[in-house]
Amino acid sequence: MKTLTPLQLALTMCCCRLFTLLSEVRLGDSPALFMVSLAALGAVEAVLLIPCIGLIKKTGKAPLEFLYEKNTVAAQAVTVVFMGFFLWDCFLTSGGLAYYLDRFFSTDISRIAALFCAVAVAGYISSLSSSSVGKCAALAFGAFVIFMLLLGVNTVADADIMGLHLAAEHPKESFAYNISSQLSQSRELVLFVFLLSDLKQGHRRSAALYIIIALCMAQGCICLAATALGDLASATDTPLYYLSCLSSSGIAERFDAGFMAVWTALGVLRLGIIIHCISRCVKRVFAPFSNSLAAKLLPFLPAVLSVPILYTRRWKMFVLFAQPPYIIVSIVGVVPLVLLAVSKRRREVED
Amino acid sequence: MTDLDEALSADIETTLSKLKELCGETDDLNIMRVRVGRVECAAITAEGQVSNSAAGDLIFQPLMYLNACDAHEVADFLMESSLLSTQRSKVSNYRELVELMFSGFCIVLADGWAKGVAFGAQGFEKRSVSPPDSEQTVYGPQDSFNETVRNNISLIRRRLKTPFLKFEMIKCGRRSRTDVCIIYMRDKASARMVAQIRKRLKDTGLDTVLSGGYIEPFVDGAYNKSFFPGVTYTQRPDAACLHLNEGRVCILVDGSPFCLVCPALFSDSFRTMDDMSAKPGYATFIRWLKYFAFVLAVALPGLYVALVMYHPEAFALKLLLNLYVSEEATPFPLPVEMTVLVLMFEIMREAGIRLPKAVGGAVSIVGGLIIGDAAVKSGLISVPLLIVVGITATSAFVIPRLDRQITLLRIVFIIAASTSGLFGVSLCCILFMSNICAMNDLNVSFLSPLSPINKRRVGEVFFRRSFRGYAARHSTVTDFTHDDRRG
Repeated sequence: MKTLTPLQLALTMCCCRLFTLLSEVRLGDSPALFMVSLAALGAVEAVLLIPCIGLIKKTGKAPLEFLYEKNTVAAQAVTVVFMGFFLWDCFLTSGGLAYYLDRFFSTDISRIAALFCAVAVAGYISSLSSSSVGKCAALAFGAFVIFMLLLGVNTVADADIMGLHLAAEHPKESFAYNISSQLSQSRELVLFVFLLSDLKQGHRRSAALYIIIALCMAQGCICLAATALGDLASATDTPLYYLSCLSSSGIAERFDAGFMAVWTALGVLRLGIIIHCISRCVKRVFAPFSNSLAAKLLPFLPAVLSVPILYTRRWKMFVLFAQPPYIIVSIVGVVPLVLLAVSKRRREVED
Repeated sequence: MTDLDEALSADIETTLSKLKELCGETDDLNIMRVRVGRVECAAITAEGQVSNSAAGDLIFQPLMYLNACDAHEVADFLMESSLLSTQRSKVSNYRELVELMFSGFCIVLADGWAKGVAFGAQGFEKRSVSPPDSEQTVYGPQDSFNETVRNNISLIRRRLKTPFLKFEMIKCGRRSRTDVCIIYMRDKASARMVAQIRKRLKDTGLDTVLSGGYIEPFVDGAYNKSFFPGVTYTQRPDAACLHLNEGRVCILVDGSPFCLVCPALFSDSFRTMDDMSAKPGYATFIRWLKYFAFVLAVALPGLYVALVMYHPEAFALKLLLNLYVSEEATPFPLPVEMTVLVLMFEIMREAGIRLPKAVGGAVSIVGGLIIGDAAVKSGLISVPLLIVVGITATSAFVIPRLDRQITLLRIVFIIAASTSGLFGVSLCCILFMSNICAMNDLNVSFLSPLSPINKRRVGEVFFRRSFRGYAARHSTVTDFTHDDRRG
């Protein structure tokens, strides 16, 4: 059922993006340079999505749908690639959620218990339709915006605009590194391409909304962190959300618990969406066995695999782990580009 | 054994004996034998269901003046040549005869005619129209539905004198054969929605339908999947009319003073009929107050436990010290203290509801004043905790429609907060939020018009529209296309 609206898809992806931003992004030397890099990244993402949107505009079908119509074997191969990526993303997200929670927040719950609870809720979310997940994401996004506004209002008195400085030792290298590292962390782009098939119309609008809203929110978060925390934000190699409890002003510190609540909600939502996508890939790839217990448990396998690593306290090796950006570029940009070329060629042959 | 679907016999003796056999010689079956002209006739009623004066004036007296030669002349008089009662229908088999007889009809049979005629002359005892027990308003109408479905129909019809308002009567319950009335506006309600509800009602395989609660699981498509109800109740005819004008479907069940409204929306619980009597500004303020009260009623105890146990940095220093002193003096851990107090409150509330009104007040005195005061003085519970539970309980009273859900949610939040602080609260929030978002019965989202966003109606969730706005456009819950309407 194509019941997802363009805004819902955009906000769903924004929630996923915000979780990555808050837990995996480090500002580096210059927050202002980082913000410029993010703006450039938005442009790169827009360019990457052009072939996919073009394909949908031309054929009326999302990449996977189009491929299943033309060549089932190739389509299944591409679906496996998608599934592999989602499994990897699920592994990073579930493990990261449990690790960061235990490492930086005041909860008595163990890593494994936190992982179990988060995956259980995410499992429920994944069982819902993409439209329901979209509605939920829209509400979670609203809650996040309200929270950030509250935080902004309360920290405005301590804000120092000088925190947004451009001083960097190697600005060009930093700029290039920022774009490359951020692109490799934009794993939600793959989710976006996959979920585009749930949209009835407004694919281009959804992509534009996603890029604009995500960019605005990211800029807002970084601006808030940099101005309220100043040098601390640049110098500390910790996730963005953790900076709130390092703040010299007690006001920001008092928001730490709230920050954790919002961050958890975003993380669980992201995990739910990933599991939802994995389940759909499993249904396509292993269609005859899709009702078997193994097929139903497969989406939860990455979370299970993260347990021994979390238990032995070796998760740190995955912190700031960034797969090469060309994987995302290939899935998001190259595959639809090839399909677009194929569709054009077929049309020319038919003409 | 006589089959219910067997046709009536032309021989009146056979019909009557079979009827007696079918009813097991029950004592509330009244059969009056009478000769009309030269024809042997019988008037059949159920004890206490028929008004003697109405039956005498409207049916028996005109029949006494008839000088009939044969059964067909009687039948012609009853069916064609007279206006004996406003409700008249032909009876051909025992099923119809029994259902109508026990619904307060007087059935007249004539020897030699294999049919009967049922006249409406209901005269059973019924409660008069009185002010509603729930959903009270200050400035709104003060009448409410009662247990008689036809009275309730008239209360709605009096307010909506439009030909587009349609009442559809169906029978539910294999044994009770309860009258259930589906009500909708033909030009507003979605045809598909009405058809779905009609089908669901017809598919109820219950023996008895004694109130709206019996059919709710069948009408609410998401009954087993969702935490919140997909169907709401109202006791007020004016509220039912408001919902009908929004394109919803109302269901009246004979014997129940409540009207089921489907589909229900989350925002319904935060509206009252008094909103329409107040200026938009004040009505909007009250609406926001209710949303705030809902958050307090659900989350305050859980938040208190989470913040005190896991995130004390969130409190201002003075408040934190006060809380620390209070909690240090109590013997039990905070989660136990909170859970016990909330459960005690629920016990007292339940006792107050079920007891007679005169005794119900005593429960609050014993519970609130004596036990509460003694518990604080003896140091069993802390004062801040008592304040939190008190605020929570009072807030829940502001939204009576969601009372049951709030009670359960509150306990779930306390357990989650006790085990993992705000992490657990956050998980619960996202879990219930996704559950609410998944409710989409009858093609209407429970969160409509907030999500998916409906630009025309989203303001109504937070603000009361002005009457000029209503005059410009009365939107419906579905906002369906014109083709989908019944017209």
